[in-house]
Amino acid sequence: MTDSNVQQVRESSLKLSTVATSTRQTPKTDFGSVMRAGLLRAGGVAQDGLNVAAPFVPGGAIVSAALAGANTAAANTLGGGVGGAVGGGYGVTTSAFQGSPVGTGGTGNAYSLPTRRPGLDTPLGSPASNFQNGFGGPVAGAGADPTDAFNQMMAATREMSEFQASFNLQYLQLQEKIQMDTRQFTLISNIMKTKHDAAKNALGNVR
Amino acid sequence: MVDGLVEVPEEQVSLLLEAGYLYLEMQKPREAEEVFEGVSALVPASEVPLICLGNLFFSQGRYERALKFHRRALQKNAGSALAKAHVGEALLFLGRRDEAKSTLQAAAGMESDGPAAAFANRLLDGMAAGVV
Repeated sequence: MTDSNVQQVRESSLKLSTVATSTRQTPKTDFGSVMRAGLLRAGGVAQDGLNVAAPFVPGGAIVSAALAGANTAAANTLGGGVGGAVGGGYGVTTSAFQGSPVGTGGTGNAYSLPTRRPGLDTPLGSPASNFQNGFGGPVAGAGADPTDAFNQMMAATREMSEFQASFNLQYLQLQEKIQMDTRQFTLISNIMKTKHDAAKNALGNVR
Repeated sequence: MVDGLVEVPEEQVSLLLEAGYLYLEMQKPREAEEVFEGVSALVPASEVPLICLGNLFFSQGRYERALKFHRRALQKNAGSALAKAHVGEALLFLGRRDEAKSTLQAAAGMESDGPAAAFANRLLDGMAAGVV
């Protein structure tokens, strides 16, 4: 084999890729995203549970409203935005997240913030950019003070803890009452049992 | 055999009293009363039919009448802890708690660990707990 032939073979085995490199598209599984998704889901579950239980629990509607406000504020905070409690905050359930994409057209406009908290049926598997577009846009509206959301959340938390303390007290009282009833029931049951045993014994030993 | 107007086997007396209690459970107090009174006449020396009659009236809420029969039973057999315990029970439900307590304590003291003493003790426990 001549030198020219060897050179030809070597050149033909070399292949150079000229495709431009691109950023690797991986699902967002960083701590912040996962934490946010988990908190939103937990908030939605608690909210839905309280909505169901609200008619049966005294003050349940208030707690539900408080949680809704807290959830909205938490979502806004976690989303990286400072949109504030849009729509007045507490208990406001209008549109958003469900059905239509968050932030109409993905424009990132602050006025397109959802006024409804994510629920169980929120497609959390949807691209995270949806949330970022909705929450992470520039603040351009009135009432977008971050301290408002924080204060509302704190007030809601305080109110909720007061209710919780009240419910705990009521629950303890109920437990005490049930224990007392059980004790009384046991005593009466014992009396009736011994009375029956005594009568049975007397009937079996008539002289 | 139980001595009375005629000699009756114990089992038959027990059976008759059981029948009376069955009538009582069937909400037929008149029939139960007839049976108990019949047994009482059949074995006049026994206090048990009188206690049964007392229980019949007690179950109807007629505590005075129940007390009367239990006292008659106690007169027939002063050593009957069962009659004494029932007297205490009737007194308790008549609201005479002090008398009831002393009577029940006496009944409990008459037997060491019999069913009548257990009944009296449970009543005393109920009194102490404010249940009865």
